[in-house]
Order: sequence, then structure tokens, then C-alpha cells
Amino acid sequence: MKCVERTRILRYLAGKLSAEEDALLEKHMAECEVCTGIHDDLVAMAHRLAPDPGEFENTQLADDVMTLVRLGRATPERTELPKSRISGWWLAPVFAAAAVVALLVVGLPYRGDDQEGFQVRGGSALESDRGVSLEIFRSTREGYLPVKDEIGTSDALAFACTNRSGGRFKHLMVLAIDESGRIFWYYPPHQRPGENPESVPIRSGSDRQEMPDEIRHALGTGALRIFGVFSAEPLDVRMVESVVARDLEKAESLHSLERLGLDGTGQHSILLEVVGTPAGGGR
Amino acid sequence: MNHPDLRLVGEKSSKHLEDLSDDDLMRLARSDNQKAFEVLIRRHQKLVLGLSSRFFCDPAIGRDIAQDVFLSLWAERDRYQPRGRFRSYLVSVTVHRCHFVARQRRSHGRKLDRLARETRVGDAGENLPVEALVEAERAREVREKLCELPERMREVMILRFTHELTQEEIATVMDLPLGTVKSHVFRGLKRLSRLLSGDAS
Repeated sequence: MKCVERTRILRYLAGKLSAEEDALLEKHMAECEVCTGIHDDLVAMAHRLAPDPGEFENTQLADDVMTLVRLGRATPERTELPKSRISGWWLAPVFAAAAVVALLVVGLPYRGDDQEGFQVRGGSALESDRGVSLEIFRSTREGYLPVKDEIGTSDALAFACTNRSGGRFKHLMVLAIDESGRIFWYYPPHQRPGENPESVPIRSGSDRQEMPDEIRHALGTGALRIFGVFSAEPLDVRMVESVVARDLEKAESLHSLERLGLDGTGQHSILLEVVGTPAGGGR
Repeated sequence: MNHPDLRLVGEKSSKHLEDLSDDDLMRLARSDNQKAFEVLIRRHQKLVLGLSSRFFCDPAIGRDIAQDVFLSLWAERDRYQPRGRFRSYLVSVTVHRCHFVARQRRSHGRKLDRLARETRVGDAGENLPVEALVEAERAREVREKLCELPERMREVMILRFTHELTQEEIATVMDLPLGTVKSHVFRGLKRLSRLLSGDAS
């Protein structure tokens, strides 16, 4: 008895044969152990994709989602802040001067905790970074607290920036990179596949500018570096992501990647540790 | 059931909510009924979690994506138009999210993580019959090779063999011609069997 081609059995399993062809093949397999064996092996292979008992029965998923929904933190990437929360949120009494100084380094790049010293990449980079700074706050029941060196995996963050570039820089991006190389976009908002948004406009001046949104990403634990990238012209997400990919390959670690290879921009980066629970237990 | 202005009067029991259709539950969710939304999650979490977890061969990534999918569903509930195609909408959102995350991970030059934390056999392997161990290992291999299939093919294979949707259902939820679905199943089976036999050409 001549066996059929394996491809025919595959087509049969995919429903690509006519009813007549199906019947002929079934009749053949009833008499051919070899072809039946091929058929059964393919079926067994496909069945191994089926869930194991209890797999994907993650009841905790629904609980976690509903907790976030009830807390009003349902948006996976962005939440609009009510105006009443924004105005004066930076005047919260817990806004300790020491924390401000540790975080806000006006005119100089922030070195992070590793105390490696400046990585001079040419005078122009250092000069560009002067006069720009980024501040990070996390949302708690007590209000917005300045972030010092750690945040929780599900903390919602708010940002403020200072742009004393004398009109040179008119646009801002805020992004975070974790140890795995994942990028989390804060500004511009980047929520849909296929999008390629650009930097958001900011003004120049000596005053602190509070960015309007509170944003939460599902962060993983470990090191996280947040970058504020100030530019004269708007940059787009795809281009910046390709630069990040290139820089990550060259950098020894996230700790040493203090500045992205974006010429002509002013940058301020802050290295944080993401912990498994909301930092400071503020919730 | 099709109530264009469905309103929940007073507190309804969960049992009643579970009897409602997806569209009716979403209508309630649009009125900020969180219990209705929770019923929706529990009803469809297996589909979303299975699709995202198998797509990346990583339960942790799958879980993160599933959470994001449901959170975005709640955040954008006002945009959902009840037309009896909720499952299609959900699959579409999940697939988009998977593609988006996959693109991010590719742009970092990283390979997709392989299936590592296995469910069953792992630590208690020494107490299981040999046949169960062999079968578990085979299952692990197949699921790992699944992640080497092109994305669209992988999605169809997951919906067909992990979630046991018919090909007609897959065509509906993914908005594909039936013939295309069948072709993906055909090529998916063919490529999987070649990958498992070590012939990747």
C-alpha cells in the first residue's frame, strides 16, 4: 500500500481538503498504520499546546485588576490628574528640603548613587545639560512625595521639570529604562502599537513646570533609570528607542548609562531602585 | 439579552451578573459598575492569559500583559460599542498588546525568553511516573517551539489548540478570512513538526 504524503495529512488536519478528499484519506488511514501513526503524532503534538489542568486559572489576576480599578488607578499607562491635585501638590509638608536637594541638582547632571563622577562626553554634552532638571514624585494618600532613590512596582509617578536653557530647548521626553532594557514612556504618551509620538512642548524659564499627568507602569523590580531629554526640536519615540538599544549594547550596565547618545539635547537622568511593594508604604 | 439602556437598580447578586451577556456587562461597566466588570474579567481571563502567556512562552510576561489588557479595557470602556463581538474585541486588544511588547523587546536586541518556569513536573519530577515526565518534557518542547513561529501564525495556533476555538471562530475574532486561518494552521503544524524534528529549514 502506498502511503500518502505527509503534507496531505497536514492539510487534512487544517481542514484544507475537500469532503471527498477527507473521506479518501480516512479510508486510507483505516488501512495504513504508517499514515495513522503520522496523523496521531501530529494530533498529539497539537494537543500539547492545550493548557495543563489549572493553567491560566489565575484568580489573583482578577483580584489585582479590581484592586487597581477600585483605587482609581485603572489606566495601565496614564491617568489624568484633577487640577485640584496638581495645584500646590509640590507644597506638601512632607516635601523635605533634604529630599529636594538630593534629587534636584540644578544645572548639573545627577550622578546617581554610584558616585562614579561625571562621565564627560565632551564639553558640549555637559554644557547642554546645564540648566535642565527633572523631578519625580510618586502619588500617595498623603499627596505627592518626592522620589529619592526607590519606587514601588505599581507606583504612579508625576513629574516636574525646570528648563533654564534660555529658549534653546522647547521639547521634553521622559522615559525609563529597566535592567532588562524595557522602555517605559511617560512623555510623550505612547499607548498604542503603530504610534510614533513626539516630544511634548515645554516652556523656558526659571520656574518649575509641573507635567499634567500621573502615570503608572507595571514596572519590574530592580534598577530603573529615568531620563528627562530636553531638545530644541521634537524627537520621536522610534528614533529614541533605537538610540537606547544602541547605547544599552555599549554600556556596561544601567548604572553607567547616565546619558543617552542624543546629540544636542539636554538631559537629566536619575537612577532608582524599584521595589516589590509600593515604596514607603504610602498606600 | 439586548437592552440598549440597561440600568442596574439597587444591588444585584453576582449570580445575576453572571447570567448577563458580555455586551450587557460592558454596558454596566460603562456606568461604572465594577462588579459587572469583575465578572467579565473572570469570564475571559483564561483566554487573555493563555494567549499572552503562550505568545511569549512566559507566564510572567503573559500575566503583565493580561493585567494591562483588562486595565485598558476598563479605562476605555466608554469606547466599546456593544455589537455582540466582545470576544473578538478582547482578542484584538490582547494581540495588539502582545505585538507592541514584542516589538519593544526586539528593539533591545533581546531574544524572547523561553519557557522556563514549568508548571507541573519541575521540582516533584522524581515522584512522577516516567510516562508523565516524558509527556511533560514533550509538552514543554512544543510550547517552546511555538514561540519560534511568526506572530500571526502563533496567535492562530494558540487560539486553535490552546483555547480550542474552531477555525470559524478564529476567523471571526481575528477578523481574518477562513482560508487564511486554515493556512496558518496548516503551516503552523508543518513548521512546528519540523522544528521539533530538528529540521528548521
